[in-house]
Amino acid sequence: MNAATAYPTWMLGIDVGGTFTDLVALDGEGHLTSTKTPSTPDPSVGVMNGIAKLAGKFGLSLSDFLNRCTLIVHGTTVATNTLLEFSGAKVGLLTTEGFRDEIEFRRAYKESVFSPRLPAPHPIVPRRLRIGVPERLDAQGGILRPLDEEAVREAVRFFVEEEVEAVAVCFLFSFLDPTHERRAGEIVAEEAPHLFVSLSNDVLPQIREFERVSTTVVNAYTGPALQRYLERLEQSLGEEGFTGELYVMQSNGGVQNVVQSGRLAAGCLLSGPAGGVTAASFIGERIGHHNLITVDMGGTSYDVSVIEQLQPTLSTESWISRYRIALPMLDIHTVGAGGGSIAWVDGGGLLQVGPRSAGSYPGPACYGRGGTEPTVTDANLFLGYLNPDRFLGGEMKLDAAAAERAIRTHIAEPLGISTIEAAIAISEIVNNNMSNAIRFVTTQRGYDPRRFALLAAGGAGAIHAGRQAEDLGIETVIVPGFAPVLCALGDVSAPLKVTELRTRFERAASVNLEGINALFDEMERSARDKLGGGKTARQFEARRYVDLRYEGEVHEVTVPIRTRTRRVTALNLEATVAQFHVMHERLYAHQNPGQPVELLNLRLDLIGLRDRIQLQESPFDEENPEAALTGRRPVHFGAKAVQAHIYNGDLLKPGHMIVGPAVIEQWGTTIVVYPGHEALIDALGNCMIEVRREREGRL
Amino acid sequence: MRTNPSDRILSQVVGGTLDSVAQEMSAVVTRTARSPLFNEAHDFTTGIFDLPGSQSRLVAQAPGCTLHLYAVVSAVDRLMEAFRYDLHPGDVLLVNDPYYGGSHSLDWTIVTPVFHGRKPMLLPAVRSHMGDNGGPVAGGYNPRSRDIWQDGLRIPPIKLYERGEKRRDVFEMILGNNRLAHWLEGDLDAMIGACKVAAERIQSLLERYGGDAVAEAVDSRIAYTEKRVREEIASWPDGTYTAETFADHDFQGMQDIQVRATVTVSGSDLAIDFTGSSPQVAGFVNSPLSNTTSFAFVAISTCCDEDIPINEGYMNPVTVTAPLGTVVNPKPPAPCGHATACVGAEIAEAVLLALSQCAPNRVGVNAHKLPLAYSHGQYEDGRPWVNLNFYGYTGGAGAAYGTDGWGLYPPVMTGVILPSIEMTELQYPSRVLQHEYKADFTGPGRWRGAPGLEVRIQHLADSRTSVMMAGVRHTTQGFCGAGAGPSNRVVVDEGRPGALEVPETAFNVGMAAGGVLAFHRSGGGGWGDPLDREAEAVLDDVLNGYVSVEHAFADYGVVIQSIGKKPVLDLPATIAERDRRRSS
Repeated sequence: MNAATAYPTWMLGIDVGGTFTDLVALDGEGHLTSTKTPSTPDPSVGVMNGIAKLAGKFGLSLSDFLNRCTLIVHGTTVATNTLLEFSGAKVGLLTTEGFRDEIEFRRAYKESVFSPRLPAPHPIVPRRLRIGVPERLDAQGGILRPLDEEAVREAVRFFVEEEVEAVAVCFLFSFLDPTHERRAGEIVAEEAPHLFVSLSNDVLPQIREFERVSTTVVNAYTGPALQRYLERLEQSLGEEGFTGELYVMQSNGGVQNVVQSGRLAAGCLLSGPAGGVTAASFIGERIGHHNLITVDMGGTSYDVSVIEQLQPTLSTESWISRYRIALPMLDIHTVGAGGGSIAWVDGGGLLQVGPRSAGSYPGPACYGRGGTEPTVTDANLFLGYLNPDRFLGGEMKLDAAAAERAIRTHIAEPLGISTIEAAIAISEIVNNNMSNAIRFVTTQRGYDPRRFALLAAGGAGAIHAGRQAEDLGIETVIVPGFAPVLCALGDVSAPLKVTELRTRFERAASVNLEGINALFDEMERSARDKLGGGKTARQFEARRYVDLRYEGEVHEVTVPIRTRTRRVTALNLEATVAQFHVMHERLYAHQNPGQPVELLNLRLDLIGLRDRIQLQESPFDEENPEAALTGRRPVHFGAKAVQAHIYNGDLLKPGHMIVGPAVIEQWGTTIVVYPGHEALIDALGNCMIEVRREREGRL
Repeated sequence: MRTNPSDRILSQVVGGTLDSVAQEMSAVVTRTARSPLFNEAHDFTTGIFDLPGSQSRLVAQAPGCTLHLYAVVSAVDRLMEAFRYDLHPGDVLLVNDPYYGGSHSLDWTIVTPVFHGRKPMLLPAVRSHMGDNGGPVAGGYNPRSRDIWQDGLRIPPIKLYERGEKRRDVFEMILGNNRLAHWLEGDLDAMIGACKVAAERIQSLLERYGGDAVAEAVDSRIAYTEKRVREEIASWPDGTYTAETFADHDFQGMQDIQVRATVTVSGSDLAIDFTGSSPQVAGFVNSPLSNTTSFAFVAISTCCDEDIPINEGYMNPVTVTAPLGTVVNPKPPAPCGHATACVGAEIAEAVLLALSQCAPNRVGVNAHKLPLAYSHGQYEDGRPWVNLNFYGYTGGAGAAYGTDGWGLYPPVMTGVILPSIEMTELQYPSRVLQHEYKADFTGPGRWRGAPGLEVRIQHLADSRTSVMMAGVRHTTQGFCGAGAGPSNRVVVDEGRPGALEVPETAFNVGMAAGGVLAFHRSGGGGWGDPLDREAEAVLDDVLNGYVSVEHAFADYGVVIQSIGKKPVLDLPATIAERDRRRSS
């Protein structure tokens, strides 16, 4: 690990996406090396290919290279795809007798409040495989009815007959006393040791039975596939000489070891995108922007999240594939506003963009793969933002005539407007959809977007970001230099963090401090187990939080407890409650210090402190970017086209300064510098755009 | 730099932003209100109105409880009538009187005006079901009510804030008349907070685009919705279609209360005439006109595409006629405390039954005949609690063309979220003993209703319960040849010597600590002839325990044999049986 030795060691970040597997290697001196390789049906094959490709860049054999890798952090979409494609395990569910249908009731929630035609969600555990067993705890955790072990045994035998592969167990109030669930889990292991077991008090030891059962069932459904995959990967890596630590990126921006990740697949559902958000936070720290809105525009969707004081914001309100996942996850809000999102005129003669997408096949009309409907990418091409000859560095030619035809026949003619007006309208609408998506995660959550910088990733995110910045009064847009491998960069730089959560219901005014400290200690021990080995991290820091609310409120506010020691004192708690009133006011426009405050959950983040990752910076070159100028072309920033400078982004150097209107074309990413905006390439290769303030920004 | 986008595009930008403001209001209410009716059940609606002339118009809304929708429209109108010449920035208005536009007095509407120049231009509003409303019965449902005053506190249009100043005296008057004052103030703060947040956002929007542009954008958005709804209506064959349905009783001895809907489709116009419905009744099931309109509106909206923005334009093609003095448009002071369930359910059902004759594939079974039961008692420290026993009656989703009913509530009630059982047991001296689907307890059809429920709730402290039965004799109807749902049943103090199966109504029946309420709640109605249901789907229902082998045969003509323990479909016997029934 010493930078002075002749043979460096590396840490790897590996992100497997649908099309590409991205890898980043970071050595002790802060040199980053990256590569991309096509993803494979068994993703571990693509990963090994990618590592071999990286090894080649250093002139090493695969095993010589892996030998020198101390840490691999992996972002994987295996669990996500299992749930999205409904290709998961056959699941059996054990519940408290009388409550086996909660997962189907969904607390009466339906995605459409008006349509009786909306079909039911795909049943990942049909009722025939849901069995209630006699047992019951009361609301204080006391046993009302002991567990009927014979009933559990009988149910498991039935599951085996039905060729069930995974068993989920969720009993009422198990978060207060997990004995019954644990015993049921033991009986499953006795009767059928081959079955994957998912206990609700392991997955989400937290009040609210529907949220818990849904998360636990999703865990059982996705767990076997993720576990098998990780075992394969670990084996392949081991066979090639890897002896370092292997972690999997978690939905909350932390990491867990392979064994824990396989058991808690429900915590890995955002493993892929989490890398991007983590990278944003990593970059933000280096460039001094601690409050960031990150946007990632892909082919079908536009993902938005918020980072405040370098901490990505979390949500426990997620739904994926119409299943509720109540684990804390990065709060990534997704709308159907990607490059492939289709523009169409609806029955009322109104122009709409998305949510339907042309995806990558057939893709936008300009891809020339048979798509005829106009997409956002077609509009961007027609307006001059995209270069038909330089898409993906020129690897793919775009058909401008096809884009024009699609916009004209599907939008301009039906609306009786010119093709250019139609393309501008598509752009206006998708830009507004994006701005509203940003409002959703900022103003609706009590954040003022004007205090944030906008970090844009994805191939087209930086085409539009200047517009969102203008809309929302954001002063700075950042397009990271590592944009094409952003998620992998996030993986390699991820904090080693494990989150623990326990429900504990008390009045804040009369809290049992000893009990709380004992519970925090137990949570810390459990977190240490999950983080495992501890080679990369030499020290651990525990951050404690409580979920507080006014009596009667149902939604809690997570408030950090500031302590100087390992113990929470009465004074600490008092300060925490005072902080709660302030946060409540900010989020909900009122506070009520006279009202009793309830404590609902304890949370603990255990963070393994790593050596600070120091990236190599390049000295500034001259300001004039002329060397990268490839020409000019007309670009529409409104009804009239303007001559914009076009730059080859791959030739831009730190220190180069570009005044808009301009377009920067680099492999996989296009950056539009709007008129009046100024872009500077910084020492890390990031493109920093200062946004012209036309007027006071408005929410 | 930026060109002015065309009006249509600006309309989308402004409209989309107003929608997101309405959603933000909803988020604020959900997260900060105290009573579980808001924060767990989401029994509220947020909306934004404009005021182009004397009439306010619904501009944007966030889906909460859908059946508040039109009631909030008329409540806002009445508030504007009352304060037209006395509106100032910083005012907060409140009304709950059903005869000032509304449904029942448990639903309160809060509105704040947002000014552009000197003119109130946009009006964010929240309408919510409150945990209590004073009056004779905790929780507000008083089956013995004989007039509007016995329904609960009657609040005409008043100001809670005047020019930004809280009217403490008015607050104290309201809190002093409420059993759940400890929740109520927080709930009102949540509603007001939501309106304040919206007012800030709207002010920004007005400054940014200017009043004229926003007004034009709103006009064009409403026109757009109207156009879409007219296109839907125009696709239905012209004609007059009539249906009638019945509420079991009015809780005061009057039985078989008729709701009759005559729907006339004429081009893109739709006329709904409730002439022929029963005269107003003594009991508290009278539906004020705005409640009637609200249910008609919800019925129509479930027949249209979901992507149509909900606003005033929805109602423009529709006229509603309801003769004064009838159960669908009572004269004051007729009581109407129960109108949002009974006869509201029948109003929606009658309209949909009529529409099913001209637009069968668009119509879903959407009634919610709720067997309501409210319990109350005292915590050990003497504070009162009111438990609405939500689990007992939340259910009954009906089928639609192409889709079985599923989950719990039908769309007419969705948006209402069931509280968590564990949270309820922490907050109330109550325990849920059972909450699951019950076999053979729903309307069969080519697509069946969601299964019915069997629910048992135990109250651990001494309690009193009022039960208001519905859907016992006149059960949820099936559509287009499907079967009706079974009868709801509620038993108070089940398993004890004084156990009472409630025929129509029970008022403040005492149960000693440990008493159990048992609910058998009908599932939804079906759509289409059960003999047309795919036999494999029936087998699936048998395997899942939604339908028994016996009922598979009786209701669906599907023959299922048991081979070993496994039920297996006998297809030849099924075909023969179904042919036999069709020809007989």
